[in-house]
Amino acid sequence: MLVYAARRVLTSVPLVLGVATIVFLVLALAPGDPASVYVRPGMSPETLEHIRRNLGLDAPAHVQYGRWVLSFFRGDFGYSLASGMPVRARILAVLPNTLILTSVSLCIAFVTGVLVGVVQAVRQHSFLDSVLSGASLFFYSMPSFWLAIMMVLVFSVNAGNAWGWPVSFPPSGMASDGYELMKATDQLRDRIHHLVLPAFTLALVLAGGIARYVRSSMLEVIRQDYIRTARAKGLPEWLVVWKHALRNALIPVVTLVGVYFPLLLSGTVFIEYVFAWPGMGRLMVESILLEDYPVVLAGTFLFGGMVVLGNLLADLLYGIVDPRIRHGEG
Amino acid sequence: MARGRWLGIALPGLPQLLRGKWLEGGVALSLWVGLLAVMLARFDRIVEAIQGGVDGRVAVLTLLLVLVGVWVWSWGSVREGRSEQEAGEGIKWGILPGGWAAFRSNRMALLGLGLAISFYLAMVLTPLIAPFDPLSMPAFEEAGDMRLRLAPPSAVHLLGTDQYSRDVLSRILYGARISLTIGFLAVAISVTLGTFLGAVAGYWGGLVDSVIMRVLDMFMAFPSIVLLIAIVALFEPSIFLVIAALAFTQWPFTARIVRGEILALREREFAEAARALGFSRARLLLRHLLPNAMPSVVVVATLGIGNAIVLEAGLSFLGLGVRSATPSWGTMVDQGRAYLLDAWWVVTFPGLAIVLAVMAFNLLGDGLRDAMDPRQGTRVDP
Amino acid sequence: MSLLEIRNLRSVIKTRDGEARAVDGVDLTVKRGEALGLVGESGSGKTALALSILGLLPDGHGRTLPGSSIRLLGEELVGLEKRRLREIRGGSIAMIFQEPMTSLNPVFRVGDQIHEAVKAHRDLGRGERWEEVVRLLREVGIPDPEDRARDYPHQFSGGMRQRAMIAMALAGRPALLIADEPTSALDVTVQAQILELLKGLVRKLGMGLLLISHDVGVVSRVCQRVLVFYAGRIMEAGSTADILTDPRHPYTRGLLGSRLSIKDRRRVLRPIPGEVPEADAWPPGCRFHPRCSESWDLCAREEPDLMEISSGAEPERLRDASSDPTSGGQAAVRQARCWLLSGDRSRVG
Repeated sequence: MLVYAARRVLTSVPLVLGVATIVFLVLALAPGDPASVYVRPGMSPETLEHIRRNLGLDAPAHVQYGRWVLSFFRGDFGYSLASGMPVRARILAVLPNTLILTSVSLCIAFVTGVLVGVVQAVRQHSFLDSVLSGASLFFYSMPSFWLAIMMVLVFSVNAGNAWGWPVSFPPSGMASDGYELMKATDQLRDRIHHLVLPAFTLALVLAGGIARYVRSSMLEVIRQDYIRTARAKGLPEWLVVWKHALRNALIPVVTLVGVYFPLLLSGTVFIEYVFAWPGMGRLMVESILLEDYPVVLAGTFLFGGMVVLGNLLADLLYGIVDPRIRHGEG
Repeated sequence: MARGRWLGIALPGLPQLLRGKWLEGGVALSLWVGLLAVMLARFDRIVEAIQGGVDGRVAVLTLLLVLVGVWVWSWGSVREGRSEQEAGEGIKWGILPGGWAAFRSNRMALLGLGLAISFYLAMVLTPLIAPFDPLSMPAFEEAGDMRLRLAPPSAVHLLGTDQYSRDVLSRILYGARISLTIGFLAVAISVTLGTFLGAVAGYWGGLVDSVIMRVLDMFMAFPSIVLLIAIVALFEPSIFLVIAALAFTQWPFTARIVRGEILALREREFAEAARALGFSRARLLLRHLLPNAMPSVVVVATLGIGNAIVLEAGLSFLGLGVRSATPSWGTMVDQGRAYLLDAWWVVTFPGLAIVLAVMAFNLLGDGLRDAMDPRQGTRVDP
Repeated sequence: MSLLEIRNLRSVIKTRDGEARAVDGVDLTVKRGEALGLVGESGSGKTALALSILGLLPDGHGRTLPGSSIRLLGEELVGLEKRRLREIRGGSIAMIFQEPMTSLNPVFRVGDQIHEAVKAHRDLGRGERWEEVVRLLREVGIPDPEDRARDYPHQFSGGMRQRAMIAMALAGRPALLIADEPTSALDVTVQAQILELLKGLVRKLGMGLLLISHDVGVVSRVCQRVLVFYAGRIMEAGSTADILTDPRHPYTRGLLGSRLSIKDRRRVLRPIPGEVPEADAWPPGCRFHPRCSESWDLCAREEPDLMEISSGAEPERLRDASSDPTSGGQAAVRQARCWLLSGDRSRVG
């Protein structure tokens, strides 16, 4: 197991380097001087100096590349053109919000997807199976931004007023007015209240794909000999399905979560934008509209890095979950 | 049989229907009736279109071609009569090992195929079938009625109007051109690029393979939209940029599949045999390995079109997509957002168009994938 | 009362073109403490037979037809309600399968899987259950059972995995053990060990054993009586000694003739020509006749019943309704389903 883990970690490092390289390539290939992306008239001389030195912006190409990558690894992404603040500070301010949103969504999506997938596998070819398949396909084919808007249309406060719905959630933001003045429990409740719509929307986008995968994995597993053995042992069917089968079926699904990470983060960009959730996705979009390129580049790098990290975590989780890897041979 | 034939002249598809061949008969008949209706109802448009630009002429040409094609097919199949069943199913879908039969029995896949073809057909025939000019704003013309702004769906405007009193249905029809064309082109390029790189990686192996795979992993580490945003932000915006950017971010998916196929096929018996016969490496690759990898490529490409449509819509939604008079579906959603609660149709229908189009390609791709899978289901060994 | 009595068992398997009669009218009896062997080629339907006993034919893929009767100590199993059937599975009747590699759940420890069986069928306290797990492992010959119980299946060798499966099967103290090709996936030396183990357990525990195999040699090592199974039916029955030394049915002779043996160095391998017919396309008349070198016209027209035969004396048909080759208490009863062996010479002529 340790060997496996070490190997996975080691392969991730050059991957992050590669991510940085690609971002640099995009920057270098773009028309215009790469340096112009980072500077703007009106910057203080110290800032200019800092940027020039750390990002190597007026040095020959390979030096530029080296310095640039190095500074990215150190977390120095230059200064935001829009706000003048160091990019790192901007990002650190919003990164936790994205992490909250994505982890909650992932949990919801996973639980839903697994439940739906198992039900579909056990009741294969039934009407329910067809309906759920159709629903999965429907949500899986949907652009996340449109789903988000539809959710706002149906479930948000404003809609509640317009249609008279009994249940409604805030359509935007992370906190209501007066958040700072609330008690801790109220704060928590408020946060959750704001989290519901974006998290569920993001989860819906993923759950369809997860359900499909779980379904096919379960169908494979249920055919296996050891399931027949479990039945021959006289175990009740629910135990056979939810313990013996599911435990095996989930193993490849864990790596699937890793594969779905880019999709999750793509969805995050749109969800955060539509729901005005102050996270990295929203920051990216805002920065584009403001032409704040240092933030855009740093954001791109970080998103790539997050995917690599996510994949690494998924692979490590896989190593834990599959005893054949955990305990090696004999 | 003579009666059937006469029926077939007037109403292609009907004799097949009567004989129980639901699929062919139904499709042929609906195409025939539908297109004839278009021709009759929009005769004036047709005349206009012929005198107009390329656009219109292509539409009319397609209309006529399809009509003639359906008629000819129906005539031919009626003539063959019974023998057609024994002679097989006509077109040999050589690339599908499971065969046309397997694909055909998958109703979902057929639905996907039908939807996809309908979309593209509608796209081509748009000048003839769109009820209104997508750019016209009747409310702002002289003696224009302001009530035409944000009008809900009605008999006149089937899907309502937007804030500039433009007909939503027509805009969706014209918008299809952007979304579907970009999707198709982007996938064409990315699949070609991906196949090439994947084949090279799979076949040559060793260092070349490692390098390509590393690069592939790096590309796949980015959420597509993020990389797209970055590219579009830094380069000059244009339709070519969008297509190129899409191709640039999507090639790894094809490459990975192709590499896998080539790797697997490389070791199979017929490859050994070909090598033993002294075929050159290039010939082996091109004439033997690649064709066998094609089914998988077709599946990836089909699913990829759906993906590209969503990504393009996303870019347009953020305001980073193609800028033109006719809007992409994504742009329509973006523009309609402000009026969400007052006029839900402005946002809902373009989005539904996206969902339907993507569903069509997903269904089609899944169906193709299932048709290629030789496994027939469980059998208990006695 | 016998341990297991099967009468007119008919089971079908679902194929693309409908239902195929994999088991088509089988009678057999297993007595307490008896080891009965069932020999048949792959595709003969013998696994379907085994699965039918415990109702393990996968839903939607196969079922046992009404009119079949399977009695365990007098209790009818066909159509039994689910809960009671589950009590019997693993409890009164246990089953082990061919592939020990894939028959154990790879993500649970071996000890846990055995413990599950113990918990389901025995009334023991917690500590006692774990002791029982260790005891079972020891009984089947696994060294260091306390440690090995904590291992995962992939850490066991093939032979040990099969032993573990046997231990798991014994957990419920079954009266009958069904073993479906238990050694076919194992090396020859390991095969011998497992067979000896089974033989010993039958003797020691007074269990009944139904051993199914395509290999006559395997069956002959353990069982006192052998049934020869082909195309959904029993073709010949008799004591192991009789069948081995004096096979009567052409199919049985063919089976034995196609075996390799160290002693037959100079003899040519004589395989039976042709293939086992598909379960949905039994040939008319005697089901073996297309491959039989001695068949007559009658064989192609009419299917013979299972008839009692005995060496030397006049062959005669059984008079009572049941054609069960194992009832009647005499291991020496021989039966065969072949016109050539029947007394009715005039019909074969």
